[in-house]
Amino acid sequence: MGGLMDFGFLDDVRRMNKRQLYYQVLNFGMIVSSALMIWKGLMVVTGSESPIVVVLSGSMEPAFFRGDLLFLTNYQEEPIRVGDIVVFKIEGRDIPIVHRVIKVHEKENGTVKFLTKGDNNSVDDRGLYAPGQLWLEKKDVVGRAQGFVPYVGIVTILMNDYPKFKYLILACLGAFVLIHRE
Amino acid sequence: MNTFLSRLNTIFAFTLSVMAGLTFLCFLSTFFNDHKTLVSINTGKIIVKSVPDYSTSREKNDLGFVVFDVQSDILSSLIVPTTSLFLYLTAEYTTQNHKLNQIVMWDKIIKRGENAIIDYKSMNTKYYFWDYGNGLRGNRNVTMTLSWNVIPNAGTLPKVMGEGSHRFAFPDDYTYFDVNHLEFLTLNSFPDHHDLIQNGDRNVNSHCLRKVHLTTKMSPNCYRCLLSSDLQAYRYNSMRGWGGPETQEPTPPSTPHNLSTPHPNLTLGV
Amino acid sequence: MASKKNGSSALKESTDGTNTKWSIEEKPVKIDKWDTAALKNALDDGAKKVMLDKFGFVEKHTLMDIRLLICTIAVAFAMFALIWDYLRPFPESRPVLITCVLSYFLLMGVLTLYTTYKEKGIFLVCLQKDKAGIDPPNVWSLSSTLRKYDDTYTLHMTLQDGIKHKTRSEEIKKSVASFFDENGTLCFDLYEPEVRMLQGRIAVDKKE
Repeated sequence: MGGLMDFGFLDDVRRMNKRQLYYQVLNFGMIVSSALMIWKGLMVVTGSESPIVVVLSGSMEPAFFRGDLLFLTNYQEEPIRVGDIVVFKIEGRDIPIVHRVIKVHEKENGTVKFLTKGDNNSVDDRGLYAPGQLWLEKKDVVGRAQGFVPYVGIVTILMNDYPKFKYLILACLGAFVLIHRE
Repeated sequence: MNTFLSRLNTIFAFTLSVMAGLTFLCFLSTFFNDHKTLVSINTGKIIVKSVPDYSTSREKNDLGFVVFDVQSDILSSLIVPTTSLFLYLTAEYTTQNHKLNQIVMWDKIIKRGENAIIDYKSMNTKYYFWDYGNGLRGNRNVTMTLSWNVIPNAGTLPKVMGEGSHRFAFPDDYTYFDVNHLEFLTLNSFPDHHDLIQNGDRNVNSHCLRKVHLTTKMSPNCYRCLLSSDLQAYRYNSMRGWGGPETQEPTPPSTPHNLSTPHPNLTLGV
Repeated sequence: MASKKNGSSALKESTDGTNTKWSIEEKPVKIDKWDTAALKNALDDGAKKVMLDKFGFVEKHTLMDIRLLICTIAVAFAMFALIWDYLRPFPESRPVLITCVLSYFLLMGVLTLYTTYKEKGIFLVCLQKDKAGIDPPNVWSLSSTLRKYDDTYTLHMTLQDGIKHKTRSEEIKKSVASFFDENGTLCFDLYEPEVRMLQGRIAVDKKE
């Protein structure tokens, strides 16, 4: 601790009284809470449990490349139709898949069975579904892609591939917020 | 602004904000798109078969074969900075079991810079036209429309339907086998999928009557194999003698098919 | 010795041979002289030290406490939403999420209004207790401004009389260069007389 205190960056903190220290912690808490509340707010507005997803594979090229960000909505009243780009999860796996709907069979009572295929794949997704599952249903859908922004998601992919990098960045940011006086 | 790092930091932050602003403007511009485009679709020969669908439940489902033409000029209505277009030809119909069915028969990706004028004649469908059940035979009202999904540089992903649809009806009877049709196809020279496998084309899945048919993408090979399974059935039934509810007396080939003039509706499209 | 009784207390004393202390009350303030935020903070802290240590006024924490309270409630809402959503996954937790998100942003709005209109850059409110202990205390408040990349520091002092409830205020505008040396160390002996003079001016006015 002695060596660390010789550096100047902790001086601000050492001069703070209890209230100011509490305020620094609160500042950090407020930044985290703002991000959290924006995310939850988006969840509520779009109706999807994951309103923003990053494209992880190249199965939808040349429309979406790895690292593109997709904005999803999941309004239950909007019917699923052919040509929709849906993000769905297979039971038992938690990686969402982004593909396009190519077949829809809807019954009178509203139950829908549909089949998806990636634009860049030559076969449909039946091989990806759970064993015995031949069609997707509404409950598998996380959301429908309504808008997209290219390249921004590369940061997320980097952080997923190198978790140590992620923790390092988060630790540095956290330390910076706690120590820096506004 | 006294250190190199703080200057670098400011430049970086400024670049990010400018790029974000531009992306946002691009996003906004996607809301102003007027998409009226004329599309003309036509169909040629249409048959429907009842075949066990090995990719689903192994029950007999209706399988339709459609030959179609499609013309359109799409770029005339695009304003937004687009990366690519995903065109798809949809067939929509109603059956007893399902109120609404939609099948993509054919699709195409047009990248920026490529020619966006569509003019295809006598195309076969790219994907199998399977029904979930047996609702195609005698279905009078099948509507075909051409739509496309606009993929911009950044922004919303609208689906646009072209103006102009085509309605056709499936025949009232199944076509169990059409020997003329079959002979024509088998005698035309296009690669046997078995050759392709030997040559290392891994996209073509080998299938025969007894193996699961994995690919939905139709190619002349698959057409041929399916029809050759009819030929096997035909030969088998002819050995057994005609009879039983599942077989139908074939129309024997009365006049030998004239091979030099190809059947007008079966020319393979571009 | 005097520093022990103030708000800034030594939090920890390590007992290793070098005898390093956590609190650096006695060390002169050294900052990056090009960082305007740090300059303002240093001058504010200096003014605080003069008012509290040299004049013996007592700091009143109400302003800061209200701000801390608003922030704490906001963070509490956010944490509640997080935990509730974790226990009951998304579709069922919708109403709770909506209330939490709306109240969070409402509180943020309240906080912004509070900081803009009520706090107004005031960094110190202190009470000058009456010597006899009978009359209500006078309330001194200090606020300051220092624009980004500007060098003029404005210290604004207000006295609200305890008895007559009249307010008087004065301010000084000085370049920060007059208080900081080449290395960015605050020369407290140059700064203290300025603050004292300002306080004196207001106190003299009061007597008239």
